[in-house]
Amino acid sequence: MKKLIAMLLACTMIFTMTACGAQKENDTTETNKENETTTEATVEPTKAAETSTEKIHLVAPKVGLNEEQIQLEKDNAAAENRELSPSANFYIGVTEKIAEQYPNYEMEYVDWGWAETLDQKQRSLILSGNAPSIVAGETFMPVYASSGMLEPLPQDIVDMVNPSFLIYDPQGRPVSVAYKSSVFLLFYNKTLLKNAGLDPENPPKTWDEWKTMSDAVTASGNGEIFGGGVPSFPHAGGSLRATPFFRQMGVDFGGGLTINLTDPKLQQTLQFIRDMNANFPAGLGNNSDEGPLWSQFQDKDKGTIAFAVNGSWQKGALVNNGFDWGVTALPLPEGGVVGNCMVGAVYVGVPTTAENKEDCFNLIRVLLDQDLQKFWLKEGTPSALNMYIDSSAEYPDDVTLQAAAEALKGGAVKGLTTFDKNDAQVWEIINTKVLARTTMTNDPIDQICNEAQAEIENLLK
Amino acid sequence: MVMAGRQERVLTRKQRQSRRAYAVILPFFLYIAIWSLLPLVIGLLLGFTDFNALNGLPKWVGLKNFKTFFGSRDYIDLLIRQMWMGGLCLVANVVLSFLLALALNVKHPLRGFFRTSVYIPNIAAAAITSGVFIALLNPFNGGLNMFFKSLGMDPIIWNYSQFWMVFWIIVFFVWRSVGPAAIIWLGGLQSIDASLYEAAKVDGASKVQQVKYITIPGLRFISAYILLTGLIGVMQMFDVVMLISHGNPYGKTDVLMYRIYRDGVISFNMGMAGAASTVLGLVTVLIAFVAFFIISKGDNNE
Repeated sequence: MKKLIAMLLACTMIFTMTACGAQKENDTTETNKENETTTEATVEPTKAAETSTEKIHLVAPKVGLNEEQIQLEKDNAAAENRELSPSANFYIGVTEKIAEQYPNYEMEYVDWGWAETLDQKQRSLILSGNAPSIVAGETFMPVYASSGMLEPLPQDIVDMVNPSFLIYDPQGRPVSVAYKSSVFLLFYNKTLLKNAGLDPENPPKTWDEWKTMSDAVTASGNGEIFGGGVPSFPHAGGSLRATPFFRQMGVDFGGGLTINLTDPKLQQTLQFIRDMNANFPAGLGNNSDEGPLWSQFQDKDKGTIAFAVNGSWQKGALVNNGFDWGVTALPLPEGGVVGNCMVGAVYVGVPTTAENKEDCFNLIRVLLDQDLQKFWLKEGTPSALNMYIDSSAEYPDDVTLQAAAEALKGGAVKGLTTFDKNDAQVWEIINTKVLARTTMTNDPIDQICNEAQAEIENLLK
Repeated sequence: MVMAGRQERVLTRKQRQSRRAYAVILPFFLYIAIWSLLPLVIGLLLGFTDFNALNGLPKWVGLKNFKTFFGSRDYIDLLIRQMWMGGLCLVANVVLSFLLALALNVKHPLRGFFRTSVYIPNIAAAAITSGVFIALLNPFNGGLNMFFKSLGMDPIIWNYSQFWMVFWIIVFFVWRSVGPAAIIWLGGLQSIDASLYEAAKVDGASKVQQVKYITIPGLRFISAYILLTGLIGVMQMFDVVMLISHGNPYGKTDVLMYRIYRDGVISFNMGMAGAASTVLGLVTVLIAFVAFFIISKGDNNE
């Protein structure tokens, strides 16, 4: 009876959740048995597809662009009288390379949005038994990995990328790779430091130095200029930026089925975040909308905040808007360790239920093509490839990329930790009832943490 | 000889009419069954399962999700907040829409223009209009704080305060909903026999007495409709909360319906979403029955 009800539920869920499934035009004679045999990691890339004339239909988000999207990119560039962006060049390059190397692939490049929208679409298709060839995403990809629904990556893919760009399944097998990602750095406005009587060529190296410099900028700013601190936006934008500071103290929020808010070192870090928040314009460091804060830091007519914790992409706006700026690694606490968090990553993986898995992995191989990956370097985003992390020969003058590569070199940087149950809800509590509440109120930090700890424990039961 | 084949059944005229009538409404019943009844049943059943839409079929867990709901203060708090915040929105909307309807009922050359104007916020895209609200509430250089600063006043950090965020949620809700309710009130006002007012005037009744003894009793059915549909609406309210406050500051304006949405399609904890939906649905039905009973009792007394 239970089975019958479960079956009914699944069928009706498929019916209600699937807005429109990807078309299956590929050969349906492949058996489940064949799929089962491909669940083991493949060692070498296949060349079979290159010589095969069999048409293989692949559906992939965040891989390439269809003709209409390419034309739109070109039209926009022409209308704005600029060259194609490195990002557009990358995706167009991927599209062309797949067409050239695998002429028998019938590619369906889909745009399913990002974040929750993409997650919802992908889950609907997986649930309907119509999984796309590739699943993509950022914060929810560790959840996919921990649920065991991703195929282990072939060894040749694992070997070519920095381990920081990989996500592992519960058995410790790498199942997803980010073909681009960044880490957090400390950007600063040299003009504001100079105006506050500080040495702009000597950025802070410790938390204490940073606080002293930021306090000095705020004090001399007369309510118009601010030092800046650690953002605590009540969403992932806050936890992503705060996480490196916890990790520098040697702690994290927990993971799996545990939550770690009662750790004294974690609470000490929260105190630092609260202290630094006084150097933001009131209400901006923890606003739901990040935009006003970045606007105050980087917009041409503004530039009223001296320090910003952001990914390497921050450089673009500072250069374009003519700021005298600098960048450095995140300051460390007394006796702390280097810590950071992956951000702006586009992870891809192959669902265990996808058909033609080896062909799906070929798409990932193209995404990691060493020539195409140079476009990310041009954009100011670190490449996943070891060759570009270990050596700065391709970007000898780019201090931002060098600082990011330095942070990534050890291969131990991870994304946000993942909880086995109610991951999104747990993070929501951390974002709103821990981080934002810490900076919005003067409530005792141990009380904030104890209340959130109890609430999260309930969700992890 | 007994006929082996199908026996022809002779239908009465009434039966034939009934069949024709059912045939006409059948497509609509099917439509409702597929798009309303089926999700309702699925939601109810999901409440008894553990299901994240990734790991195969739903797993039957019995009353576990309901125990979590009632065993945790969080969900109960959200339900209570849904009720009182929804209640404030409903009261504000009913009162203001009634006053607006009275104003729109006054004969004036621009009456048509004003009637159209009050409806526009309801058809404007909520994502855009909420964006305007959020820009106004920007703590640093939002429109409202810039205005206060120009008057020499201190800016208000709206998003730090539960009071202010609830206030703006109500303002946005009423701004969007007052038009349709006012138009319904107006329809009711215009259905009252004008001769009653004339007779009251002859008898020397004041304006307040006319409203008390003619207008309000004449609008009993309209008010019942507005109250009941409004009640159901505010018990399902989450879009305004999502757009204006995201449940902040630190969850102080979060409501159960918004949590159900997040449990369901953000966390993919379908079991908890189903259980919480069932509880919210039952509470809504209960409140609606109580309201209906009170309104009906009033009718009977009359």
